Amino acid sequence: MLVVHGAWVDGRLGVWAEDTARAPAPASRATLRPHPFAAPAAVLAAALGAAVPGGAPATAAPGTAAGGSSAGTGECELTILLPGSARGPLPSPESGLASTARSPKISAWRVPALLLRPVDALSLLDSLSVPDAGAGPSGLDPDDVPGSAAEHGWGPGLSLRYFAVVAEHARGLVRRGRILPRLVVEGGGHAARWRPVLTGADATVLRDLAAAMPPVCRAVAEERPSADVLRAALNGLVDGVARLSLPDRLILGNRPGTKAPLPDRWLYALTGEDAALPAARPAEAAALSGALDGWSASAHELDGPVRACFRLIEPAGEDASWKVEFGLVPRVSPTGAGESDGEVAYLSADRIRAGERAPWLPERPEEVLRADLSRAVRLHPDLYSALRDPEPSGLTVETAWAFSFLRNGAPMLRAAGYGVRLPTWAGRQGLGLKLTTRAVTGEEGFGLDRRVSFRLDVAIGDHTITGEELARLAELRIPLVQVEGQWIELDDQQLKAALKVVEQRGGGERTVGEVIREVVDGGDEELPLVAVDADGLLGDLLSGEAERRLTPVGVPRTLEGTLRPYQERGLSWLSFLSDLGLGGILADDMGLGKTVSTLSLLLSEREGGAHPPTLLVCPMSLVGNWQKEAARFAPSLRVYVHHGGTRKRDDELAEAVREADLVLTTYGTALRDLGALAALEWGRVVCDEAQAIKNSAAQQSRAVRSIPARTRLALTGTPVENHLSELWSIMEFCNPGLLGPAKRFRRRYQDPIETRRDENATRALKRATGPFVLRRLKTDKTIISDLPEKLEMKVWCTLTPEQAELYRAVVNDMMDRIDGSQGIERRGNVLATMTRLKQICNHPAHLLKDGSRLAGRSGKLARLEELAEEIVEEGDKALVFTQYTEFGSLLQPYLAAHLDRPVLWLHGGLPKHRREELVERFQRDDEPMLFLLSLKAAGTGLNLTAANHVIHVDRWWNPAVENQATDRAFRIGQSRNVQVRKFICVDTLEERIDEMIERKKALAESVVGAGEDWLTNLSTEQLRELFRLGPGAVS
Amino acid sequence: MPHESDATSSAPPVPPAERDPVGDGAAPDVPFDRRTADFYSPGVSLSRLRPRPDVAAAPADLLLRALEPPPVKVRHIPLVDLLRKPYRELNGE
Repeated sequence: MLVVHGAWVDGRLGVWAEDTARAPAPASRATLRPHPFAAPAAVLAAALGAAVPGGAPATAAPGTAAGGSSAGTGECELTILLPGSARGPLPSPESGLASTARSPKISAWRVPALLLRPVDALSLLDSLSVPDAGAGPSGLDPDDVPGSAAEHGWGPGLSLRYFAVVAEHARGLVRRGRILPRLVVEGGGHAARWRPVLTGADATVLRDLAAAMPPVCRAVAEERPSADVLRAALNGLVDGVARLSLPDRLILGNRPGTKAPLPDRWLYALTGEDAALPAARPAEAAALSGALDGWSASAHELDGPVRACFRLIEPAGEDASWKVEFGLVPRVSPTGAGESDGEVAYLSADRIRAGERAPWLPERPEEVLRADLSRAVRLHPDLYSALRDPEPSGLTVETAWAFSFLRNGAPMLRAAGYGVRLPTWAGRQGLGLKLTTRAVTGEEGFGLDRRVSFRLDVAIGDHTITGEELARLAELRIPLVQVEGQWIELDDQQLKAALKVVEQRGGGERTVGEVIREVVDGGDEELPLVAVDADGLLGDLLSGEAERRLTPVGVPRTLEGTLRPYQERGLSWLSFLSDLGLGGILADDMGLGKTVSTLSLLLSEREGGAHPPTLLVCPMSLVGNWQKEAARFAPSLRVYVHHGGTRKRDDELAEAVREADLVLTTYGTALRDLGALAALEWGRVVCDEAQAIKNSAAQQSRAVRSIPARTRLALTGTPVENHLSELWSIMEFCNPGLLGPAKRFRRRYQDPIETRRDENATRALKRATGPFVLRRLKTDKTIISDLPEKLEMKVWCTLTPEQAELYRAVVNDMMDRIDGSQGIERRGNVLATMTRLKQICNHPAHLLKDGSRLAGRSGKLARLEELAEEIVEEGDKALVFTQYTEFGSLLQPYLAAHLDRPVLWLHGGLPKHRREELVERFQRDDEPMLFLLSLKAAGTGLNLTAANHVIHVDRWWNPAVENQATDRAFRIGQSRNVQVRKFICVDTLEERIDEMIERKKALAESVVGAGEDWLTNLSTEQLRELFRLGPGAVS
Repeated sequence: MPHESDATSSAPPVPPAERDPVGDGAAPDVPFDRRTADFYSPGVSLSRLRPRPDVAAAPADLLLRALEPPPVKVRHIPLVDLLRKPYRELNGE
């Protein structure tokens, strides 16, 4: 495994790698020594081949960064400063290699490296920014890396990921046009380059970015200032992005020769690959760069601490006029609305002239106001007349002027950083549709085919507009009008659409199914649905609060357990949708019991009569959990697990499915056996961890969508992780076609909400999807009051084939040794076996200690990743306990890279002050994070109430010790409920010991002080049974 | 390898406000020998450093509109006129 690091070197991204397969060996004693476990450049080039355009980077003559090189990507050797000892440099935490230096010193090391031009660097860095690009820190699945690189899977170090973030900023600056072209000096000549314009919030953000730069990013040849390195990297990447974004020349014609005027040549060189301007005449260069530098510098005039503010005031009465008032605000936010002592800071020009003052006001406020006004005229020329006034304080304007200001001036001025204050109604939706339905007398029951009376009206808010009113509005010359005392903005298209509705739609009767589709459609783009008035069960459904309004269906008799009130309501909602043949998304917060609710639904249906089986598709790591939970809560359900090499096929499969109530399978198996599964009859398809189908185009999403079923259900704690398109994809599974094509969804909801935070679109999307999504939050007081203070649960994990193979080998080897030993030796062998098997259950690399990759090799780790992602996604913090320091050391860098969130690691090797710092940070920092803790070092004494999740990754089999650890979070000062999870590998010694403890609580309590020692007294046969790997262990 | 700077020897001095928006007002770097424990790690988590989604939908040519154009012409056409359309296309519109 290669851990790839990055540094910015002379206009290029320098990448080098630690090779975890090359165990650190003593380095030579020379002053400038080769890094002992750095990967050769050729190996790195082969590994990166897929991530750099055109395959592996071209090989150039070896050189050094300091020596310079020609254009293109090339291999070279960098001198880099790293902490370490005389034996060698310290490995990065991401490598998982053990570090030994007690008092590391900085010294220089030679590393083989590749230098990537900005455009190639962008390609590599962009591949790291893709969400969910891979299962682990590798970002790329090693299986996807071709050729020899397959032996050298690679993962980005945090330094390379840092440059990926810089690249994201560069792309953002270019996308927003925060760049200007410049004439710069490069290598003694001139060149045309794009440079970022960093003002306001951008400058602040970039300063923070510089301050956070990992030292290794600025350690080539010497200790370089982070601001210099970041500026150089940003310059290079911005120029690269701008050239990629501007594929066409800025002016037509051939490349001007060296005798052409410099501006011609310069403009040409701003696009394409060659930015150089050889033989530029000094006088011409000075004139051009002076003009361009001045232009760029003037951008900072818009960046003062105080800005002009424009306040639009609506007429006070029928005979009054519109006004635009000028004033000043401190520059606090891009909206111009500053706050001071909780009050919105704003002083009008009149109040300033009257002598009113504020701490943020400059010495000569009127000069600032006038200068800003002059600049604002460039953005909204209608303001020009104000400049005629020697002491401008505002303008009295016509309605048409006000409309133009609302539509054009205000957004432009606001975007440029000026303060803009508009009446509260501004920007809100004007005309919309109101849908009214009523139950029809004589129609019995409730179903999609039942008819209801239906009426569509044009409305402004709750006020219905008649045809006459609409005609009068359409005749108005200026589309800023007052209706019922409320100003609204209209536009021609909206009015035309409204007139059409009045003429064509009217009323009549529709089926419930048609009404639902109408509501989900959300009206036209010009004329959205803004209000729904429905009665009866349809009203309950469309209200989005069906679970609270529906009649409870009752807890199934066959459920082995109880449902909390909110779970009962959830069951009613699930049954209601299911009876209608509609699909739904159960999106309750993690820990609220989606599993038991789903099992209850299945039981409830079967108590009412025979029912076709449910196919439940879930990640591999959850199969065991579903099996266990079904056996515990719903033992009457017949469960068939369709997974693994020995799964049934053809007629045997059909028979097994016919005999089952619940069929469990994985996303991978569903894809592989799609033909066979799709041919069977299913009452329902359930997708657990439905984020797995968030990408509608992915093969597994298409696969589960194509399995026919009467109804569908998606279970997820995070229906939207990154983009709203994910919600569309999950809804498309639940209710195919109901939300319309993805393109329409993007235009109607996704773009307005994600780019503009459009409130109307947000409301409309909620109305459209609300009936089909049930989401309850732990923070909801009505839910929280239902919950116990501490919710303990077991998380059942399976082993990967690699883990199982290792497990069997260790059992076979150690049972022979145990059988042939006695006394202390036997006791030692039993405990060693226990330890090794528990290490295997954690991860193969934990046992092997070979620094091998972590991703994709442990069921337990997979589950931990999923849980940790959900926890930080919800903004929570978690404590993760392990009894093994070496496992914690493996997990910490891996999880930190995987989550992109802090993962603190407290173990016995840390000095007291460092432990206190970690605890302090965990308690005070508001960022979601994990705190990995060694059970021995942190099991007692610490106060970690910032966490509301506790995970015991491996078990000490001592309830008292585990409870003490849990109580780090669950103690006085804890204001939230705490969820405690204990990881157990199915059908391994972990499950058997757990069973023994559960069965014999008294025994367990009697051995509390003895830890695992009591196991050494078991007979060899008992131990063989205890350690045996059962058939359900492997996923 | 070319080394870059944003000034020519004969160019007028760069206004102070533009000299270093990244470095101005920034805290000095902690020396390497005091960063040995976290030499490979960023000071704060990378999630916090990511750019926030663009909330205000500003037109990409806003800077061209807001600034006094430079006295630069290419083939008698003002530079800003040549740049306006390409800028509008930067945000993919």
